[in-house]
Amino acid sequence: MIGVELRKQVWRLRTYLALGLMAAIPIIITLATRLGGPPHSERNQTQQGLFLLVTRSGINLPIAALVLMTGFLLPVVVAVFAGGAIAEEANWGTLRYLLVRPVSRSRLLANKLAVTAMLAVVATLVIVVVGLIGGVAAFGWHPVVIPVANGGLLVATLSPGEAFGRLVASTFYVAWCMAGLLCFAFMLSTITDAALGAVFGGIGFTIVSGILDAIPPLKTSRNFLPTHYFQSWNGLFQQPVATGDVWRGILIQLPYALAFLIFAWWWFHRKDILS
Amino acid sequence: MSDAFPIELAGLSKSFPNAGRVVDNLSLKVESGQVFGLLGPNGAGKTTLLRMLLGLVHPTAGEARLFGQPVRPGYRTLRRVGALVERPAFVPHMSGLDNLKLFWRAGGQPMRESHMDEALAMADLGKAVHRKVRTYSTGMRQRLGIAQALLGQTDLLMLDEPTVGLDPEEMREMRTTLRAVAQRGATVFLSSHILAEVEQVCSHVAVMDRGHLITTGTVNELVGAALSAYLEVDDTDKARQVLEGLQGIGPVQPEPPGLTVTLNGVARKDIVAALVHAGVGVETVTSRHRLEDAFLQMLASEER
Repeated sequence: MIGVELRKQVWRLRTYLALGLMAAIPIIITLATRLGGPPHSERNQTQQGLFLLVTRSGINLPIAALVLMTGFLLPVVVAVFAGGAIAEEANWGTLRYLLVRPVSRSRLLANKLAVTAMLAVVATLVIVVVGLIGGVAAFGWHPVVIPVANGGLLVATLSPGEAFGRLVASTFYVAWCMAGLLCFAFMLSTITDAALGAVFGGIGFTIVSGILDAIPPLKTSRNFLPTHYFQSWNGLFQQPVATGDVWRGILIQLPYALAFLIFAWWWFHRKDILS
Repeated sequence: MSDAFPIELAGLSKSFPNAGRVVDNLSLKVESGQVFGLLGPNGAGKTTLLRMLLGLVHPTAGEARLFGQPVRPGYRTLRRVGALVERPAFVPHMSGLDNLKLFWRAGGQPMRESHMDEALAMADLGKAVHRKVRTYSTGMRQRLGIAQALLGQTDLLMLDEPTVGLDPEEMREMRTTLRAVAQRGATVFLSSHILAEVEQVCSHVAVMDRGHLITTGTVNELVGAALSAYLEVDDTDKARQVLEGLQGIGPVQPEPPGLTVTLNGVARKDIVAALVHAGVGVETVTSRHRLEDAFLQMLASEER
């Protein structure tokens, strides 16, 4: 029955557009860096460094793309998938026809959640895969230069194979980081019949968490924000590898995801389907 | 299991926070093979009742059973039920055929257990069945919705206002289809606010208003309970005098070109006999309004 949901969600304009957007950004980075060369003056040091490195090895390109997309565009796309999951069916009126079939509401929720999660993972993969193909095609499969932690200008190199392995790990880390906001938008989707409301809720969730994270006086309480560790996979691309924040980033999603899912499940079971 | 009622309600009630009691203490039994009409004006609670029968809405009190099994959301007995709830609804970016297939597979049943060919014949969409549903007209959607409900050739068919959006020819086909469904031993439960529809299609009827069950019985019983007849005679004034002189008869009202008589249990043939005896030529006698009379009277008496 997951096939039913996949059939419904994959072959449609919305999914093409969302995944197309995920592919477009790394393509634009590839073309711009290839045709325009590395940037000369940028205000942002890290980003400048990022794009300087892109020309050194194609593997740097998906890394740059992932840095750019993790903060906002990927969460938006995930919110679109998750916010639409149930609310859109309610909006179409098809939710009642799904529920007059001999299928429990838990099963329906589980199927919907599985397909939403799959789409979120695919969206993340598209960024990295397109970035990698474009990057390697334009700049080659070379060792990756990475900074040494607290080493000033010291750098180390990773073999392409090693860098690729860490890239794969980073991809799944970023995809998992979407869990909290995905479950939040999914929960809203069981509550409202307006899919757009649930989508904007998910986006708002990311924005609010991002804003709180930018208030230094909040100190360590910021460590509990769901978006706080979004970029912690960068620690995999330094010498020595910093995995502490990666593990914290993985763990921090759990309470959010679980809480939202439990509420979604409880709400959906007691809900009167009037759509 | 075979002797259990397809539908059985016991004290079923539903309140909504903002709307109060939408369904109030309904008890009802629908037997196998009946074409059961749920008749009531808009807002009577018909759709809410249907949704409770399908596990979409949780009752506030009481219980509904399908084939003896208490209704629970998504429970197995729903395999024996086909349903049209309010308007048909489909995934707009998919074709009619794909929608039917998805609907079926969403129930976890293999395609070979469906009756797709018969359903498609009923939908009668031709090549349009491969077009996206968002391009369909209201009538096409309605036919596809009914086809979807028929897909399983289930023991129980629940249809909410099934003829909305159909043209007279399609309505006729619809009636034929429903009779065929009943003939293979299945039960049909349909809601309607149109009296003529219920009268023509149903064997049994329950009348509902503002959440209450007002009456229930066979259509024939309820039509028999209708108290008025419409007459066309050659001498209206004389006929009126004669009728008003008759024992046990209610008000006689002119309704050009004829008269309407409230019968109060007097048989039509006795009235005709009296008129003919008095020398009045009777051209037409019909039971006017029939169930509609019953319907309106019941609603009126409910208001008092």
